[in-house]
Amino acid sequence: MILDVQEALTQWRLIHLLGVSTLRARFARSKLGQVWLTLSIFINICVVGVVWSLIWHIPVAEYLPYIGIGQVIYLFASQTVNDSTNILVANARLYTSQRFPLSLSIFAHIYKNFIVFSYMLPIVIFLFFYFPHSTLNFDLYFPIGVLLTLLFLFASSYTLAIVCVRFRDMIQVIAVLMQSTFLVTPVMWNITMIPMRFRSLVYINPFAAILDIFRAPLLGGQTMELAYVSLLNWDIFFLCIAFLLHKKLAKNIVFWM
Amino acid sequence: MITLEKVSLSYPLLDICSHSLQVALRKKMGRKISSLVGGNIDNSSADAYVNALNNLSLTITDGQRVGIIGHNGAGKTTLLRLISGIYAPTQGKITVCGNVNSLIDFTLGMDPDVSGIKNIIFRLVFMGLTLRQAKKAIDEIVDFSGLAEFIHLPVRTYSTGMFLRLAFAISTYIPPDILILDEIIGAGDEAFKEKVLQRLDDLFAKSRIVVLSSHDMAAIKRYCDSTILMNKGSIVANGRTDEILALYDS
Repeated sequence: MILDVQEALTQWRLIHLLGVSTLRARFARSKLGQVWLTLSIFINICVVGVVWSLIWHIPVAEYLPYIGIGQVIYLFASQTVNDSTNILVANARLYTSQRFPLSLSIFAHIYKNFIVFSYMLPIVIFLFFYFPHSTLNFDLYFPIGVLLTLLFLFASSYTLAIVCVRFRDMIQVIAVLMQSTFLVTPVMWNITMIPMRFRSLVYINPFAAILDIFRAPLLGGQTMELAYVSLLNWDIFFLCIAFLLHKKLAKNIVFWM
Repeated sequence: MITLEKVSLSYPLLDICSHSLQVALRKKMGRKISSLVGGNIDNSSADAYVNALNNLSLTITDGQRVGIIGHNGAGKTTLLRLISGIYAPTQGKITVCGNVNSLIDFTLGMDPDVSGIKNIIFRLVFMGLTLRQAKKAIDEIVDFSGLAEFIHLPVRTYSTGMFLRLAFAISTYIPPDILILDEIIGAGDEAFKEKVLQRLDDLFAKSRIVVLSSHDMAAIKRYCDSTILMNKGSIVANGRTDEILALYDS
């Protein structure tokens, strides 16, 4: 698997081309292109933010940035994992007509989602300045958090891509799972709203950990240590599975496409 | 140099049902239950395998132009994919020295939504060139394809013939160490055919090894000095092209 990753990284030009080409297909022949994506998410965030802040009697200026920034980060992580189920199914033509390392399309997939995430950055910047007491609170742990997140996205995408190319019904299972994950991730609600003894349980969810790592420093808060611990465990877990899957099944994967 | 030592390859036959976890689990559980109660649980094709290649041994040395012939389903494409590294052998060992350029799909990497120029770069990068090398190749390829000002239009506006001409011009641009072809590729009208033949001769001459699978006996005769006759995943005969073609005809 290490060789596979190494080989894919030396073909970084292909990662770039593959990542951009799927985006291009999505926005082909529309004049505003990716601006639509930013706009639709922004409108969605505004509506949800205003409605819920009225229901919960929280000032809009406090709640809107919280949910907005949370939503953008959550979407990046969850979409990457959710869409990873389809990577190898969609790239079958690639793998059946030339030899490529499997990680190639995994990297292209993460790269594509990262570009989509970067389209959302204007929303994050706007909401950051809209927030009344916005202070940046990045510490030394933040880069480690970013690294852990990327590792998580890679390892989980790799695992799911292989599992789902063999068992196509897993694509639906993961989609359902990811839908419920949204509710147990503190995107809309704040972790201080639930009783003390349940709070640490929230961090079992890797998306809650990722959210905390990225959102807390932006809103002047502190990332819980538990977030790093949880994410590290998930990383190790998925890396082991990905490693085993690759070792046992690498030869057969192309026949399942 | 390509060597195959007692290579066998079998792959699973997957239908819609065998792509389902539910079915796989039921089968696993079902077997346990049936051994308990002696029931008879239906087996779908999930365990079925195709023996695509049986015990092949083969050496192709540098400078050889090898043709592969045989009926549909004889294992020709599977063998090409094995040499390309797409498939790994189930048993046996294969060693391939040199970089392989398999033109099994010679439009791989092209995108109909962008211009011909960009497609040249995309396709060449897929074939392993760097961006800078690819940019240098543009003029030569545009010239060869004869697309002139059309090269700046999105490829989806091209006719099929124009698209194939472009794809051919790009794919045959660099002579690889090992060239793998599934059927002779060709494109375009009568006037272009001359250029195509010229280019193919040139490409075949510059590649160290050529492996060509074809149903077109004239092409095999023209390009290959030795030929392999395959049937049902095995090599029936391997020798000089004229001898094998005579054997195939009889």
